[in-house]
Amino acid sequence: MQVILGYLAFFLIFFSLQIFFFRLFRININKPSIILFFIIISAIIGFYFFSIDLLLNLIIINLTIICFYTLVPGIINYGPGLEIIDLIANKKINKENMLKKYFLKGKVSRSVEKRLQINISSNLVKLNKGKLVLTKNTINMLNIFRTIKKIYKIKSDAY
Amino acid sequence: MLTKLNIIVIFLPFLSVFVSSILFLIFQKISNKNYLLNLIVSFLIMFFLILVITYKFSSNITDREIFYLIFTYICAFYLFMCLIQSQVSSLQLTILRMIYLYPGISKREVLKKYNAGNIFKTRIERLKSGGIIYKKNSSFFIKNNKIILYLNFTKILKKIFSIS
Repeated sequence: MQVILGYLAFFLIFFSLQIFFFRLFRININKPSIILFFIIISAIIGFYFFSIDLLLNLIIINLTIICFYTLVPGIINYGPGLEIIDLIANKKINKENMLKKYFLKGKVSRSVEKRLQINISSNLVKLNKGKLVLTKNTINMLNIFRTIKKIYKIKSDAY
Repeated sequence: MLTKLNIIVIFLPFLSVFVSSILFLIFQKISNKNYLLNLIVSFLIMFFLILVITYKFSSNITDREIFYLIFTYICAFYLFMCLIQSQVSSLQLTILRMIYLYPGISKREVLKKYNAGNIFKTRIERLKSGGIIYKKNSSFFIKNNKIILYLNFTKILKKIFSIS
């Protein structure tokens, strides 16, 4: 019980920090640099105060931080699938043509533009004289993803 | 000093996720069911195995180690799930794939090729094939109510984060 309470305390502090920074300053603290910072700090702490309990706690803390890194963007950038479900379930818009009309009117209809902007601001894509060019790291990342897609026989939207 | 049991405890959740990923691969190859169901089944099989192992060795391992085994497996599998899910429905990734296919494409061309109309069409198809919605007389209805739980969870988080 004490173990769970200890973890809950950490979780609540970390979650409150997320809310504090996002609500007040619109800063998403889930960044690769923050994760790297925590991993380095954890490695140093783990090395100097070595004990199995501490090691397990550090792994749990770092995994939680990485999970937040993948969870929060999904909350900030609401997906089109959820928007459709929201329209059907909560707003009771069931007719196909009406559903499409409301979907196209909504914020999610501009999501491609928004995601493209995120890709540019996070240096995954570079804008060169009005043309979009992928960086070398992005190409490597896409090759890895393509391999995963092939291995697991996953179908995606595009190509 | 780390004992043999300590090392097993540390690596067991990660090893379990690796085995789950192989199970998922096998299910994907042999079954025609949707990927999400295959993911859930592969998760549950290994989760059950971890619970059995924990129960069998409960006298040799501490409460902290039991919590670590269960929690780390859930977290690590969640990350694996995100990796698979991003292949299916990540808009960001789709846009990157499009630029990869058409190097030097302009912003306007991307928006022309992959617009809200296309997204609507593909998402409706996916929701239908995933058994989440169904069509009856040109109207759509929710088939699987569990998705509403997830929708409400996201909405609560959006409210907490004050996202309009």
